Amino acid sequence: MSSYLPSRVFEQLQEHKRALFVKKPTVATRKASEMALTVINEATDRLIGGSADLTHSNLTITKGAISIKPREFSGRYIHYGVREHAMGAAMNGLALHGGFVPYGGTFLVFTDYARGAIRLSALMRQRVIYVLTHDSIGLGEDGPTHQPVEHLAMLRATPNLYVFRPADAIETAECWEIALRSRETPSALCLSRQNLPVVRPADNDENLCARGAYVLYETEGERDVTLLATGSEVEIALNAAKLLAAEHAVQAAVVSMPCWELFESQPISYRQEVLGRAPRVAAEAASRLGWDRWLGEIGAFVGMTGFGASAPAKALYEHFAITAEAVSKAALSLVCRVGAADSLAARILEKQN
Amino acid sequence: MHESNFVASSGLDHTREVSPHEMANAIRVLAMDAVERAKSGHPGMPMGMADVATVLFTRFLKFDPLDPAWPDRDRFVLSAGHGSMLQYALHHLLGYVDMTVEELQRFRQLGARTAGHPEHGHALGIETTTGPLGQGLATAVGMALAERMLNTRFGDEIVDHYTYVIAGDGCLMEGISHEAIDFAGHLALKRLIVLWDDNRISIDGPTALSTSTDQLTRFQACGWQVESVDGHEPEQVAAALARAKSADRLSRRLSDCHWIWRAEQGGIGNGTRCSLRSSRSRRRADPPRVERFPFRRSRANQDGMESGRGARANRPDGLARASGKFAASTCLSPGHVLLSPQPRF
Repeated sequence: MSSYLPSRVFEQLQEHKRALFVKKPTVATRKASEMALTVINEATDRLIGGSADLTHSNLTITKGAISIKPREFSGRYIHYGVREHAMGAAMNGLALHGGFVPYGGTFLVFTDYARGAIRLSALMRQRVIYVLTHDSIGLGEDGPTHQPVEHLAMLRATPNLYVFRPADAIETAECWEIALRSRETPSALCLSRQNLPVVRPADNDENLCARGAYVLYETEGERDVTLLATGSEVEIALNAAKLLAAEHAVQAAVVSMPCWELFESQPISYRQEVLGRAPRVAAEAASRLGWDRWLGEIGAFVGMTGFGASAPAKALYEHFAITAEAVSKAALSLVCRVGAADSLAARILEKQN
Repeated sequence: MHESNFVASSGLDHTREVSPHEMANAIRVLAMDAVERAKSGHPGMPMGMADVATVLFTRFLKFDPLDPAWPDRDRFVLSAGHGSMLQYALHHLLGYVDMTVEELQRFRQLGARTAGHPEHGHALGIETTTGPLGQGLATAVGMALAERMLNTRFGDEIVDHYTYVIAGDGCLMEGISHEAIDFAGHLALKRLIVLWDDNRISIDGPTALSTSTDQLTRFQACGWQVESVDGHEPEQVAAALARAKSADRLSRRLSDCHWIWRAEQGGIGNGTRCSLRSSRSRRRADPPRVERFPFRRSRANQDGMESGRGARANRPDGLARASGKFAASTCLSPGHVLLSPQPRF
């Protein structure tokens, strides 16, 4: 009844990642999660999936998985019904009992309903994996009731919980690997509804997400600014960096931060290397709370300041100004401000001399 | 520890069997004293559920205090986690090696295994952290589901156990309880048995202040088999538990006990309170018996339990010497209400 996962799971995931580097699929990270799960579930029968009545939105069921039914317990997929809280608690029970690694899906916004159980997953150090899709205004038409804003901050504030927000299919596979390897920490995989391109430039067997954050795009010379982003906003940050270089000759590095908690646990030297000494701009389609830890005193944030709205995702990103242009503008403003301060300091020094 | 001197001077015969009533009272005294010493905690639930817990742990629960991680053990979840002293007292009497009298004396203190609410990982045998009401009940649903899933995969010889829950009024008021019992009823998790301590009291006052729900009917509506028994009548509790277990179908029984009244009538509230030392002496005087089930014993054997001196009495730390095989533990048990999902569909 052990919950041990065979090494085959991780070998297959590595193969999957290599294939992704070749194919470079543009898919929603919820889809990328399904792709990773397909590989994982083929390699082991220890994972028990499920969803709180959002199976085909969360993409949590894999091909061939049989559902658990009343008095028929041979399956590996659980239809929890519209019961997010009980789903979380039941997953805690599955994990505590031993024998299984449970994962279950719902929309990120409904972590509000599951919160009590998520907190206990973390407190009890159980390997429970929450698959939380539709992770921003990118959810679109369902509107503000279904669009999470403060939820990432809530999850990140929870001790002993890994909050992952992968940017593409490769990061998603890596985050799944970390979640499976984390025997004493539950994971929240925050995944997009909308399609996202592969942003990882080079084929690399190393699990870069395991460091929590890493430099995705480095400048050739000294950085003028560093752009920090997670998930669906990493693509936006990359485009902003291109804009800044092409139109303003500003050198912007881009850092993907799929897991703050893991980044926090890195040596300070690594964190400094990643964050750099240039001013920072963060982009995340959520509330700002927590980002100042990474921005420092001189920084700017591009994200949500209130609730979302009902409209197609693209229109919402424009409406709430979470775009490459907005990030570029914020970066420019910051660079100019810092530049002004530097010149002021230079004048003061000159006068003293 | 001057345990042996104390025992020697007590002149008490600690080889005789302990009656369920004595065991339940030992639980009550330990709970009272610990709460009194900590000046914090909830003695009411252990008081009321001591008889039920005694029946459950001594006559039904399949477990081994000396091997708390035995995979095929029954799972016990104290969903009404504020009654943590019930579980700690039980573990002490049953011989869990980490639940010493010192731990009981440190109830609710920093670093103690005896945290305010049962914390998984702090003490052996705490299957899950409880305290946020309703969480234990819902977590137990996952445990019972895991048992059935593993049973389907590996068979009765390997996986064959029950999940027992003691829940209180508050557990059943929380919204999560409905998600949990609805889901468990749907799946027909017959190995899940809930004992509801219907003590009708909440922090603000009688539960009538805030609820008029007929819980038995609610459970029935979710597909549970329910039963109401007097939680201070061990034979009634035992018979109900036996029926819950034997039901081929889902059986969850709910026993509705007016234990507060019973407690008053039974002299529990007579105002006699013992110090921790005196409670320890009581324990020494009436060493709890433990029933230990051999690993993987067949279901047919489970009704004929082998018993022996309490494990604690045989521990090599001065509390007792170990000799031979034997068993475990003792006495206490939970609850009032038995609920099991009943095969309604």
